[in-house]
Amino acid sequence: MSDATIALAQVRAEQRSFWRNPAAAFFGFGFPIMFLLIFGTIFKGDKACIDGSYGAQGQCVGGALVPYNTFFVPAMAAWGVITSCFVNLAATISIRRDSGLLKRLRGTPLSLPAFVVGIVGSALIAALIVVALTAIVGHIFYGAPWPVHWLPAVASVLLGGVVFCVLGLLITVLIPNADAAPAVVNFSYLPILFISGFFFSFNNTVLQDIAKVFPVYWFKEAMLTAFGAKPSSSGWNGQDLLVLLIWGVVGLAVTLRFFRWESRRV
Amino acid sequence: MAAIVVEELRKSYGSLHAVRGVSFSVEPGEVFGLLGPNGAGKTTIVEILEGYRHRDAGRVEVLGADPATAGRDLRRRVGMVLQECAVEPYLTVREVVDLHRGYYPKPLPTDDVVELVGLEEKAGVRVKKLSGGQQRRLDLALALIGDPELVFLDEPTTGFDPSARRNAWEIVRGMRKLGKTILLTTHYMDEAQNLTDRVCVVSAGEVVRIGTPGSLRAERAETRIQFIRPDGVTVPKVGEVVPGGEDGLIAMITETPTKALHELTEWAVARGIELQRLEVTQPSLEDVYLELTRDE
Ligand SMILES: Nc1ncnc2c1ncn2[C@@H]1O[C@H](COP(=O)(O)OP(=O)(O)O)[C@@H](O)[C@H]1O
Ligand SMILES: [Mg+2]
Repeated sequence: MSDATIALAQVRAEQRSFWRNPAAAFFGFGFPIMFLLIFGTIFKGDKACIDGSYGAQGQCVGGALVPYNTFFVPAMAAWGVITSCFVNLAATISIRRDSGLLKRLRGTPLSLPAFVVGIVGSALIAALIVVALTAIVGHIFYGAPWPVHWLPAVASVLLGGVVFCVLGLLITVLIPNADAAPAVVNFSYLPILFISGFFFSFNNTVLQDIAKVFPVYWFKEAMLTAFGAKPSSSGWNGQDLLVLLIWGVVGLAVTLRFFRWESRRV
Repeated sequence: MAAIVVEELRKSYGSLHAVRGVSFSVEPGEVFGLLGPNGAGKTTIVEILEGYRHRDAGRVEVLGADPATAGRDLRRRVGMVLQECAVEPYLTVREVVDLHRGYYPKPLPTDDVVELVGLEEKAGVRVKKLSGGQQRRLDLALALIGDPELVFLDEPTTGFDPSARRNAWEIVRGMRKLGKTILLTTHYMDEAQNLTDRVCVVSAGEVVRIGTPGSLRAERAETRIQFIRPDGVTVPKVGEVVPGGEDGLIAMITETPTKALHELTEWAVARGIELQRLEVTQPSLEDVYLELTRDE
């Protein structure tokens, strides 16, 4: 079999495992959809202040007011990509490292690229599905518009997905064992999710500046732009994608250097 | 050419010298056993041969290549059962075997391998649902699917009940018939005796003996003669007296059992004494092994 055929078989096997594993499927899909249903219902009819913050009289300073769900749907879609890629890979790879599955694979002739294409390809499929699901639920139940710029939307999901897969592999370096994976993973990105304004805008430039260091913020920006929640003629925002790309390239280099295939001896 | 050559192999973990100058070689088609107690260094040796760990010193060759630098080409020709390793739990037996089948240039048919390891009734079952013994047999199947020339088995039957162990032995014998070279580690004496052509007894990182199971047994030539001590007489010393094991039992070991037995029975017959529970036994391989690996 050629490497391409093997890579395809890997993607298929990873997809099977993913959908048959209730925990993986739930973490990939459960939270973003659940929050969409909860917040979408609570704040239906409200406005969101995009790229700005609320002033003392409740006015939107330095940004634009849009219907809450126009903002919230692409934000939850972005979160879905992060869970399908970053959270999902960090968890499954630490489990496989602890159980010796990675070690076993390394003893077979399976090539590293084919293995990586398998896990990343499968995560991207999950990411595309969760984004589609979010857009459909948002449109049908909460009157959010369909994504305005299709090509930028798909491109952002794919680029962001790959970058968050790389970062998911990277974070396994910091995960001592699979039991600690959820704690490390959630601690590493949930606070950033909040200060990046995934749920609501707020007035604190320090936190906002901190958020801008991380790819989570820029990915949300890219998704808002592509979905049309932010004014843009093309749906592309070069700066968002560039920051993501830099995180991806640097993350990849660090991962290649420090990735562990075997659990640490206890 | 030997399938495996190990010369003066050394490996330390910090200050712990796990392997201290081990040498042996394995011929093609041979079933070779690394036998030793836990912590002897068996896994360390095997994982150096598999390319997972790096040696500190010495020379190793696996199918003519150095596993430390050999790449996929060597892994295409070698099958491995690691001491601890899992399989994707949410795939079925057949799916996993099929997936691994694709990794190799000239694999065996999935059905044949699944049948060889006795999992044909579980082929459609998810790995998660298999028992420990069944998962171990799946490990064997995955080691075999690529039709390897050489197979490493690190404690393939540890944790098995006796009947599962016998099944596994049948599988290994089947692999041997297919002409595979097999290096297996075990701490079970009977496993080495039943499966291997030659064993290398390792203890505390050193080779204690290498030979066929038969030659190891023959090495301690002493035969043991034992019987119940008769009352009121002094028994002639026909060999070295060793602890009898239970009350009233007297045991002697000798390298010339015919002569010793003759002297003993002549003495007894002359006095009209019947020696109760008279027994003449060869040392078992287990005895030899225990003696060889005894801690100083
Ligand atoms: N990765 C490691 N780090 C530190 N010590 C190790 C490591 N692997 C094995 N050891 C130690 O080396 C010795 C030999 O271990 P091992 O090769 O696993 O023996 P065996 O397989 O015969 O039980 C043991 O004392 C073990 O604790
Ligand atoms: Mg071991």
